[in-house]
Amino acid sequence: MKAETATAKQSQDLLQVEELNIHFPTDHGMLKAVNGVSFNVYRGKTLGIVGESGCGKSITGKAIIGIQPKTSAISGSIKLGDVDLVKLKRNGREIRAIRGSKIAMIFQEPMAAFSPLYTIGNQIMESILLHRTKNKKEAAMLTVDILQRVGISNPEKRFHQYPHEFSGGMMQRAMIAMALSCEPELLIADEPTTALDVTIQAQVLDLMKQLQREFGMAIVFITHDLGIVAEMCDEVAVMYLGKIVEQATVREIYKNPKHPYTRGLLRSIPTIGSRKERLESIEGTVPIPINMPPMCGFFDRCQDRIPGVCDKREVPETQLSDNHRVSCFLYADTDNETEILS
Amino acid sequence: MKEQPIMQVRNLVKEYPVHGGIGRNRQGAAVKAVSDISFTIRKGETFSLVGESGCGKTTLGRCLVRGIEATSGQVLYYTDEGVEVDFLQAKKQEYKAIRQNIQMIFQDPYSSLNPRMTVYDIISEPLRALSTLTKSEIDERVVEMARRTGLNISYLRRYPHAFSGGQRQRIGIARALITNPKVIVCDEAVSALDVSIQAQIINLLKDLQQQYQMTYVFISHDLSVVKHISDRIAVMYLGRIVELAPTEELFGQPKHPYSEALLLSVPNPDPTVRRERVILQGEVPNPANPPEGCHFHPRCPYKTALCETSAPELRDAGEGRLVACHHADQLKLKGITEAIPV
Repeated sequence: MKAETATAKQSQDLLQVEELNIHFPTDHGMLKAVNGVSFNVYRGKTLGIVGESGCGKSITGKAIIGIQPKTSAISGSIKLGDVDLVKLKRNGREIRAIRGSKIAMIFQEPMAAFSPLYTIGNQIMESILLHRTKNKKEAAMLTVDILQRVGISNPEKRFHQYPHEFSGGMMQRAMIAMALSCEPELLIADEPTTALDVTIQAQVLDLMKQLQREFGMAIVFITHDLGIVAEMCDEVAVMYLGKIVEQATVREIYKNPKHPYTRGLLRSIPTIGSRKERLESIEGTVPIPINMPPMCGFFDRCQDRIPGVCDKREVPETQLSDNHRVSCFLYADTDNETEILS
Repeated sequence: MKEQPIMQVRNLVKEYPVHGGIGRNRQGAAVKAVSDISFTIRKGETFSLVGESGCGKTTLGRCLVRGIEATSGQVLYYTDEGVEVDFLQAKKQEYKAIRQNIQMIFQDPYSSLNPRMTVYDIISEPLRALSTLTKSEIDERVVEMARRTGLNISYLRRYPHAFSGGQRQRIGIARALITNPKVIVCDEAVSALDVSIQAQIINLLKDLQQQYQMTYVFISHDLSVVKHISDRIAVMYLGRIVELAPTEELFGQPKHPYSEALLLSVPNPDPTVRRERVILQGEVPNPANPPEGCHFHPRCPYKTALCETSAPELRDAGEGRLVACHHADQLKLKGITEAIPV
């Protein structure tokens, strides 16, 4: 019985990231940009990764399609089915077959992500020609079709236009079209609406939800905006200093946040639905993760820190319920702790 | 006290010339970035300008401090003695006297500080340019300002690169405050910062406002922040003010369709409350070639034939509100009520 449910759950798994480390050697020591990150992405679901700049959220997304910077050292595993993406040769045949067809990515700055020298149609067609068909005419037709589906009016004309003829919102639609052109199973969206105005942002988010229903793909949504997370995601992972400090379903994170950082983050955002006289801020700034001793990275800024405990060793992860885990000594039960220490 | 005006803008226009074609075909046209705007800023209030990119809010803000020279119109400043002076016409000595009272904080803490000047030089520059204080008096003021804005005094001889984003924004604030201004124009002063740092800076701005009884002109696209900080809000669209109202009234019940769309497209950071959304079609039109009649009519869900031909005046709508819409009295628009937990 137990084995059956396990396999049922496994079939839902699309991507399993385990103990992912991405380290950069620097003159001052090893910079641990991502430090022991694990999460699962389920078919058709949306996982949000939130955190402030420098917490390692973008590079985690990039590592999934193998475009992390060359200078980094990566370890751990990223499993898509039976394939471990970490083990694949950088820019080798295998990763290139997956990139664009099974996993696609959209970026924050649509203007920077397109080449100014080729037409939009040409650039979208490129991945279709690589993965779906060798026939140029057919590829062009598929491109026009996908442009239409992301809500670009007059797609035949737009096909022949250059990026500078598009507005920011249109470019983001075109990038989504490019990402979806090969019907990927997983879409990694790295701050896709940060550069857009609110009314355009609402359009793009709406489009992404609608396309997710149509294509049934899973989305990893990387953002710093807790409002977007609440609207788009099923599950959230909160990152701080290269680690996931808390992960739970969206409802759970907002209604029952456990980690002091998550709580601070939720309290420090002004919301338009409520009136607060003063925002509660998190004191201090994010440290640079070079040569950090084994301790909680949030220690210096934490209101609930326990001196002598939190700054002495690595924080164990505690499973609070089926869909809620947190890395904080406040919730660590002693049995679990001794297990980890031994 | 808040009824007294401190600045008044009358029929302000800023046009930018645009040149198309070459040689004999060269045509001169003009983009009206700010077209015929009038409003009053009251002493001690926080007056916000909101709108999407390209609506002219930054241009307007810069015209207020004469960072950009307006094409026509008046910016009246009321001195302590209640004397009305047109700041735009002010000549050297008078300009210096008034300019000390109107300062500005910029959006990007990375590009608004000269990398080749020390923090001390940056903070003291307005005094050296505008006042006749002696060196030791300047020293004293700089140290005081650094303390007030939470900067470490021993770092004053360092260069901006040694500081984080939040720290740099504090330097920018100290520079604006050094002349003891009455009015500060904050152009997206917290937009580039992470949420936890953003809360620190917003709190700092609020504290300083109370201490020195300053007036803020707060320019932002982030409605959550605007709601939190402002007393009155002007919503701009394509170079014009479409609605001006006290904060609570605007958020409670907007009277212009664009305000409604803007408010309802902000993602809501609470997954248990589902808000109705109005998703606007299309994008902001090209300001070089704005639509006939009401500028907003191509995107407006409530438009009638009248809107396509005649431009609505900004008129009094009671309760200290102004609105530019032909149908403001008939429309029942949705605002954002206090969040009710489910």
